[in-house]
Amino acid sequence: MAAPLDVSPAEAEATPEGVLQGMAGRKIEGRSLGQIAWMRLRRDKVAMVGAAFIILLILVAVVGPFFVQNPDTFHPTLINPTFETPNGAFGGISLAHPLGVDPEFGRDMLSRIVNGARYSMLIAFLSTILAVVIGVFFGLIAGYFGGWVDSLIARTMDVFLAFPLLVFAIALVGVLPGNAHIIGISLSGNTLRVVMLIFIIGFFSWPYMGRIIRGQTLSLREREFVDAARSLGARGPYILFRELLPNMVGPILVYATLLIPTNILFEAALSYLGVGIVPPTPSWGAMLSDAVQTQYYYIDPMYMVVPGMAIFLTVMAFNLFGDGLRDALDPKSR
Amino acid sequence: MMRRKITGLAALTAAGALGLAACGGSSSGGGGTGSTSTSSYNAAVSGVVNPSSHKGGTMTMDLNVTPDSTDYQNTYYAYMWDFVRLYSESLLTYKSCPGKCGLQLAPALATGLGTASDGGRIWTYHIRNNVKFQDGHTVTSADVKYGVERTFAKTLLPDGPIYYQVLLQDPHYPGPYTDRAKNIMGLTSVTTPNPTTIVFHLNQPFADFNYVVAISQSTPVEPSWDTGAHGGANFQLDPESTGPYEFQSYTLNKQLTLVDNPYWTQAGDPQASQLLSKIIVNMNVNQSTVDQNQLANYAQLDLHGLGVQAAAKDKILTSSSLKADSDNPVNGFLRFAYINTKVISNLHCREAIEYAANKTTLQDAYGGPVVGGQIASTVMPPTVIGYKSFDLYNSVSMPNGDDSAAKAQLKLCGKPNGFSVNMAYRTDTPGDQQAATALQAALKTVGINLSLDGFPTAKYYSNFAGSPAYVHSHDIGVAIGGWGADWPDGYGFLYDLADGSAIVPAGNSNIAEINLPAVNSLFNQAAGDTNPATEVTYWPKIDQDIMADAAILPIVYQKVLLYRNPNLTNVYFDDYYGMYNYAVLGLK
Repeated sequence: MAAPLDVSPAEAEATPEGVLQGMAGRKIEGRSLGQIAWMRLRRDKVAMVGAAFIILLILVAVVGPFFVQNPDTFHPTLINPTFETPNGAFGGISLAHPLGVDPEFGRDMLSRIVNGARYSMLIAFLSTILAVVIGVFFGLIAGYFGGWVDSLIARTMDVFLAFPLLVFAIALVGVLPGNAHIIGISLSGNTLRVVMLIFIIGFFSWPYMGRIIRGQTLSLREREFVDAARSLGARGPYILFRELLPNMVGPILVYATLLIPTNILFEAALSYLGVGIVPPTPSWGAMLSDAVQTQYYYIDPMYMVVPGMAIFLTVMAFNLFGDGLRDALDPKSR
Repeated sequence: MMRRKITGLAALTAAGALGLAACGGSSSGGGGTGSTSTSSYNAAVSGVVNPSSHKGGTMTMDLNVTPDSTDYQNTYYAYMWDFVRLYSESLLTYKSCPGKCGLQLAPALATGLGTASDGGRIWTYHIRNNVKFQDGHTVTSADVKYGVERTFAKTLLPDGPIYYQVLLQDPHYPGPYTDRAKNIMGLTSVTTPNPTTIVFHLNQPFADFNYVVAISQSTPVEPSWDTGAHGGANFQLDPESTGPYEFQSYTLNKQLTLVDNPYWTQAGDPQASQLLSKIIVNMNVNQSTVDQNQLANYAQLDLHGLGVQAAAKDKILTSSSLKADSDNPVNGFLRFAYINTKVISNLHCREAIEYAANKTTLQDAYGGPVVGGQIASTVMPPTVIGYKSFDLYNSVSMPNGDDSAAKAQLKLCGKPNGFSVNMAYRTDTPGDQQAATALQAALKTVGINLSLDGFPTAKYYSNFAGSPAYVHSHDIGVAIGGWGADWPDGYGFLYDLADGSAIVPAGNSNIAEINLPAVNSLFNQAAGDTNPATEVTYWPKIDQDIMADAAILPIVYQKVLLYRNPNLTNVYFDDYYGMYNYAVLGLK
């Protein structure tokens, strides 16, 4: 029996691609992969909310500290002298102090959160960039050259992944001098701590990126366009950075975005353990640590809730955006 | 050189870790002077709450940590020195009575305080007749000597104080386990001319030796008990009792049960009592559970004695009935900052720090006036014998800091615009970090910039603040610290903090590097002055000399909030231990 060959009207009227839904009235035209990904991303409302929050956060971190009060000013009049906790409900929330004040000293919580955002963002972004640069470079080399180079780099990554990082960081901070001279630049106090945190975090997160890039390189180097480039006489560096790297922008972006929240948490953990930013400079992890160590969170939960929510919302925003980005760039992985 | 173990922990967790000042009281368990029977806020600070001679009952104690050891020769925590008296009797102890009364030494196993000869180098004690061990054997002076010998076995028993090693003539004696020639007691500097006399031969005059033997390490032990399954390091599982109670069972670091010692007599141990029929100690209980158990009467006592945490504090202070069952005493512990006299060598610069410090915010840093402490203006807390009140830098009269006086001192120092220096503190000690923050903010107002440098408690004294070389090379001018003494007089409190010879390359306690000829010579004179009445006059002078040198910035005399279970009888705060006196408690 022959199958019917006619095409039903419904199928004939179907739009060429799901991507164009909601684009009614617009001309069908050729689009680059980037444009298609952007369209997919824009349709992902959750990711867009995450992105909006991230942009807001970056704005707050960059210009916020100029608009809030001094985070180190004590307000002893707002503190109950017996319990050392803020007067009033919810940690002393008032018009002047929208997120309340901290116990004992009465410092404004909003300004501490805003100033803390600056350090959290700075450390998370810079350490992520460092991790991406190191990870991509070694991942490419390991994947492309293979052999003993691959073995060496892959085993090195294993060593880093197996390393008890927190213990190392605590030990390093313990022996760190109060000031240091690195290539002619004199660093001390918090600047030194920030630089050190960026290096520690970046240096220990690159293997995650390195492994992914190595895997991608392993599969891409066998592709025809690489063979074509090679047969045209291209050498290693050209193939690595002009042929392979541009094809990996997607995964790099996605995993960098997902690395940022990990690094925020890492910075918070180090500050929580007392080896992060030097007090009284506010940091989210250190604020959380203070709340727990001083036990005030039992009677003033806001002391813990405020920095806790800041970390939670930030990490969630980055994760939602990162997931959306991955879906947009690589719909097959859905 | 003597070293007193310092509590490295926070106000809330370790304030009393060292032997603090003594306090004692009436000679029998039935209550003492200044008795009060109604419970009210702070009633047990100056009087006995619920005096009673009623016998019987099971008391449960909760402990939030595990003790270093239940071996009375091998423990160095104030709460354990208080607790071990339930199953041990040292040569001397402190009077069982509330308030200052309890700071006085009292004979326990000995018939009286020691008599000194050879200018304070030889100390003789006579012990009571017919005091019995838990197995019915009679205690002899040789047993006391054996107990002292055990303290030399540092490999097996590392935790106790080392006063005997420092003071006795043969400091290299290896301890009885290495040198166990039966009946030939190897420690030649302790002699026992007859079964009731024991003589200590010291290598230097030491007027405070009575305080040394009042530590639980002078408890007698029979060599025959200290063998086999309950010998050496396992002695703590079943220590031989000479006190009112004895071990029934002990699961190491979990649960301990004490029952009455049938051979104990009140006449042989006048400062303790045997009112309970059973005592159960639960160890390693989370502190918030300890607090809840106390309020719910599941446990009658917090053994650690460092007070309740924030949640229970809130409950107690907001309920008038609970508040009436609590006490808020000063516990003999000082919170302060060292001002290093080498790094900040100009006296006026140090004085500027003393004046500019805002004592109110520093007090807030340690928890405020209730659990933090009382603003301090002297090095010695009020519970130390020889304390004299004075206020050189207007700490009490101008608690928010005297900025104009500070600026005047800065001008004299030649730095009218201030200076910059580093400050060390312990990161895992929350009060310390807050205090460092508060001090930094206060000094900034006069132009003194402190950069904070945090270190872990475990290495603070051994590698960082306690290492003069590190302090100098890292320009650490100010270091936050806490201090309690092993015995309640000026020598016990001040020596390690302020004597020039107490400065050591590592584990230094004299972090300010105070090395004043006047102070050093006062310490020497005091050590040779065996008359307590004149000895006590040295302490206020030393205290004033230290303060005049602006080497220590006192912050607070620490206070704790203790919950006093209403069913407990004969309860009072013991100034020596900085907690309730455990040896005389009973139940209704």
